[in-house]
Amino acid sequence: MTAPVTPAAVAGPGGAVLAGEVVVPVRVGSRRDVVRSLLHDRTAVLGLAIVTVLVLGAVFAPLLAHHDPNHVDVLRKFLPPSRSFPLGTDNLGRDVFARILFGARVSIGTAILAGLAIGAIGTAVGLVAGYMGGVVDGLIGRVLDVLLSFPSFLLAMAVLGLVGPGLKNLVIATIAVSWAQYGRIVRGTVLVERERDYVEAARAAGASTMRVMRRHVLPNIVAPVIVLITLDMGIVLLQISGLSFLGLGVKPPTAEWGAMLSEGRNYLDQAPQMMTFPGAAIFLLVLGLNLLGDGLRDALDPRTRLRLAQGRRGGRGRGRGTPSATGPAAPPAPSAGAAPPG
Amino acid sequence: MRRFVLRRVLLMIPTLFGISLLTFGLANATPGDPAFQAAQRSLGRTPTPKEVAFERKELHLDRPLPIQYVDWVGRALRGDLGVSFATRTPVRQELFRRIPFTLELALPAMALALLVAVPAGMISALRRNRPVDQIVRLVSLAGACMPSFWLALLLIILFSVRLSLLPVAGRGGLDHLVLPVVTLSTVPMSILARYTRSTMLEALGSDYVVTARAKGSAPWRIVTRHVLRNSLVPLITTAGAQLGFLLAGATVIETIFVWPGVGKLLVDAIAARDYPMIEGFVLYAGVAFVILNLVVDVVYAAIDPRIVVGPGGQQ
Repeated sequence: MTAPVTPAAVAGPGGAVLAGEVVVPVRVGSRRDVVRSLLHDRTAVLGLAIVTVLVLGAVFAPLLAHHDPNHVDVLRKFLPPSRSFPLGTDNLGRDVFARILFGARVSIGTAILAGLAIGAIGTAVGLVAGYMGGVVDGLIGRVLDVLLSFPSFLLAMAVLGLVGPGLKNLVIATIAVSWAQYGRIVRGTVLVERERDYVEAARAAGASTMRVMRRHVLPNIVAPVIVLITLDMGIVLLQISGLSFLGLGVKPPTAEWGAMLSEGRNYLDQAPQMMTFPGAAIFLLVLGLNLLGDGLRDALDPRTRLRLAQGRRGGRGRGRGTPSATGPAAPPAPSAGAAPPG
Repeated sequence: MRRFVLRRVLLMIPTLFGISLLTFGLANATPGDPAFQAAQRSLGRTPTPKEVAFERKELHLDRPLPIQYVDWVGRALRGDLGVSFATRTPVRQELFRRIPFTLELALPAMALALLVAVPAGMISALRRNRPVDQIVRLVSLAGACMPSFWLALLLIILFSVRLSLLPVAGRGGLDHLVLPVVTLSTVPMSILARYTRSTMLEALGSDYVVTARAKGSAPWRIVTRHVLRNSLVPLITTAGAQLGFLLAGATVIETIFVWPGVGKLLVDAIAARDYPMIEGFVLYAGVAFVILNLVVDVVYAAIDPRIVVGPGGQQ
């Protein structure tokens, strides 16, 4: 499996990402405008709803599950879905519904943790490289080249193979190999931002480099970064559950969606529910994050909003197809960069 | 053009150097004392400290790290990546033996992806907001969000377990190729379809199309002469990147379908803690991807002169 949408391909909300270089930054309207425009986008609302339901399921897992997710009872193994076991039971008689809910805590939790860490590291590095330029930029650029020359899934796998499997190592490996794509995109955005008048004004007012980066440039690139993180969270989830599926993540009996799928592999005939439901959960969450991310991108992009207001030809211009939103004015970075397995 | 290629090749050097450093660093990050482990493996019992010291000297692990690095690079350049712990065969030999199997899946998968995605994306763009477009968008979105390992298992349940039409796993006749190739192609197919659609829409809205329309060109002529030529070029780069993702995805697909390619080799090596094999894989994969990117860039530049010349008219 590959990235649903690679960060380079999604571009910034403001427009085209050119070869991972320039993202035209976004002027964000008032927060209320953004929310309103988001809520008018039916597919974005659907995405938000999917994500919310799954997150609430994870949070309230102990209240929603009728059974202990790790309670083994071989007498009731391979039960089909019923009132007591809404999604049936697995090979050890454990409640699949309870395991999905508790598994959501691990799967969603790690995806959020890794997604935010990747976003933070990538943004910080890209900000420094883009703003400082020169030798610093050159050095960072070479590091990015190396990391982006591998598909991150392969590199994460190899790292795990060398340092040893386990959930903690898995999350660390995923973070360590995946931030480069952000770094490149943010760097491109900052290169544009750096030339703007407000930066010069801040400098003239005597603000230090650090202060200009943190207080002036950063707030101006936050919108595209939020969109990127939302879209990328799905990729991270696919990557983590893929690695977990290969047995590099949680140890049994901990419930986690990828690991559950892997267990279900051996019982395709007797108990397909062991495999169908965890897979559906992953699929739905990735789908929800993508819909939400696309909606956010459109909501944060004033140009799309303008188009919405003009209401052209029934096209509720969901960015995706509208040239200015996705328009690959130039190819995305040719590197085989960050993405989970295909 | 020659200067562009030369420049591009020179730019590879720091990247390759970085990849070698990364691999060497990872190799040194493995837990445990390699001298102890090597002694243990050759003796078949827990070695004495003296035996460990002997092994350390034997393997040159007593030398400073930079010297070890230079040594290691020298050997890697000669194609010597060490011997697999698990199979006792040279790492390079084993890797090269497995590569054709992976290509057997990856190339048809890429071909299938392009064959479906490009026409689908084009039709979708030309029939924007019509039912065809809606269907293509929905299917390609679903395909792009699909965990491939889930899709693989769903297809196995349907076509192998329930309908008994296709083999569950293993390598054999053409029927063994169907499920892994289809699974492997789904994600690149979806992404390429979405990409084709958006480049087409972009081209359709551009000035030269407006001009062509104004001048009264036939619609089909506009599409074939102007839109297609301009929107298919960037696809090459995307397809190249997708080929990289596809090779990464092969690890999971090969594992599920018990296919003897490099992906399964890596997964097995990780399970067996076969460090030389993992390191060899990282090094070779890194070099292979750098070369793949180079080829994609050069092909792109050969087709689109704007890349070589650059917007400023120089370079």
